[in-house]
Amino acid sequence: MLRNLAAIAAAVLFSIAQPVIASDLLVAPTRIVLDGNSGGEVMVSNTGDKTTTYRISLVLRRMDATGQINPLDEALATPSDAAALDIINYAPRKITLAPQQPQTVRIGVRAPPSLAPGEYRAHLLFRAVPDAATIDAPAPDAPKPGQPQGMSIALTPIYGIAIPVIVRIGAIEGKAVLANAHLTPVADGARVTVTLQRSGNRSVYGTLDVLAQGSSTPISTVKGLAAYTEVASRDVSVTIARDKLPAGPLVVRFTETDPAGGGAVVEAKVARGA
Amino acid sequence: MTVGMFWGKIMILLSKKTIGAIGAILAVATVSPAYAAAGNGTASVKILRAITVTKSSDLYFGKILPSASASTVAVAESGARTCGSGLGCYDTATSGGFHVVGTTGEVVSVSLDSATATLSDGASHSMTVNLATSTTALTLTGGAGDFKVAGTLNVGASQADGTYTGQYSVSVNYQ
Amino acid sequence: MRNLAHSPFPVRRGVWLTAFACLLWGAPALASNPHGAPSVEMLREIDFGTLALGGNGGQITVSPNGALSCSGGLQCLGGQSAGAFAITGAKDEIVSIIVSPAMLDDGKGHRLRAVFTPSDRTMVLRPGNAKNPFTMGGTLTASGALVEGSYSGTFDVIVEYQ
Repeated sequence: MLRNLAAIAAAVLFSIAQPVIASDLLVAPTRIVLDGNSGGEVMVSNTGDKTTTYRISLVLRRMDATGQINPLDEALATPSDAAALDIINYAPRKITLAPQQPQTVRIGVRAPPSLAPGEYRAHLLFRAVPDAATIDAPAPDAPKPGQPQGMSIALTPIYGIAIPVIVRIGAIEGKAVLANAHLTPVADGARVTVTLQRSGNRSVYGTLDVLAQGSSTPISTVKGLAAYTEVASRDVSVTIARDKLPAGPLVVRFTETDPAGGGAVVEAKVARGA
Repeated sequence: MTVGMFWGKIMILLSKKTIGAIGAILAVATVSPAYAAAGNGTASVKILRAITVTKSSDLYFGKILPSASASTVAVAESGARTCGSGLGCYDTATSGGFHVVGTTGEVVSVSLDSATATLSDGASHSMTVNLATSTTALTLTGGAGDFKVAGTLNVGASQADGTYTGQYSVSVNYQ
Repeated sequence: MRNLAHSPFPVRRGVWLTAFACLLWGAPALASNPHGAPSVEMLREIDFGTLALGGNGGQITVSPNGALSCSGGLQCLGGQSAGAFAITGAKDEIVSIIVSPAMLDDGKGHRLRAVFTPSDRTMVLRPGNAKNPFTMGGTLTASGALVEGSYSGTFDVIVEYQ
């Protein structure tokens, strides 16, 4: 049976090797916060060595209590999600960039006066569009002619970057609090786990530092940490190498870097043991 | 009193040493504005945080010889391949790899937009791939980080030979 | 000889009065400059454009003719322009151009060091009120710890007859 297949296979032209896609993508800044009727811009750059086309779309994302961000189907959108998709507009939607060439994408918000105060969020997704897979010379390990050729598989990744676009309408406020900070020994060191709690109708965003109590130099820092409005809290876990672990007690500190946060700082002591 | 007489009176009052000192002061005072001018220039720059994603390797199963019964080929995040019984697997497999560059200490979230991808040969034959990544949150220690995507290829019984192509989507989410 | 201690003009005040008198006259030791001081004005500021941070920082250079280059972990995103200045002064005089470095800051305590490069280090001036133009490039050094924001600063440009 295999020999018959081999005969058929031998007659088939095979494409081998990987499709060539150098779609290296840079997006800056990494977060946009806007109010009612304002606009902003995002720069996209092609840091690869091939001219690439990028598609830009507005998508929904959901954060869960573990801090993981998952894609959300539009069919499952809440009214707040739908409003976000409605009021945020952007242009262009498709750009082709030569290597090392940047371009600006403009973002605007047009919120109707009837829109309830609150925070509305969607994510701008930038994705490189792959060219058709190229057909190249046979792969070095291919079976010898006359032997079964088999199948060749080319699975192309479309990878992208998504940044949050947050629109704040009316008077909104929010506060971050740290809770349940504890330390668990792991191989090579320890893991500090803390729950970032959020109250009010605004998402919180900032930097988490782990410090030795009384010290002002962080042992470990995590930046760009957010708790979105759909979660009341999210967990954060930081691994600290054994040689960086001090003998005394540890403290975790969250500093809000969101413009609406006013630089608020909250701290919690880290309890030892699970 | 004319300035000249004023000058003369001063000269008489001062000792030679003081006159020497005056001379020194005058020498300094001769770098007068008449020879030089200063203006102001201004400079500005805008600095943004950025995030960059680059592909470092494709998810590649290798060359596969089908068998009479359905089987699977799994490529782990390490790149190690498990060839299902009855199948022939050639060539070196690689897992999907991605490199993320951003600000030191930043945390990004990685998500596969769909857990399954479909490969088709352009005719009527297709196979599915189950995708997975163990990385959900990636902390950019030193400003960079990497994550891998593993996959399991579902090969049908007597799967037709040919070139199967398909796509899968993965995104790096900034919070 | 009068006793200096009792003089109606204390010595120190005398020194200052003498110096003042000399400046009023133009002390005989000075070769007089009949043409007047040169002047320099900025026509356009130097703008390094937009930079994207990444990795361990790097350098960005704008050349006096406006070309941009980035090194290290910095990505240049464009929007740059070289600075432009003009000197007015005495015909045919040769001037030197001296530029000081500067610290740009974002108003929140974060700073960035800038060094500037004029397109010409010396110029021969054209007559009358003609503006003698030159451009200004520069180099910024950004560390990996740099915080995002809008940074600006001022620097001195000195032009001197030789």
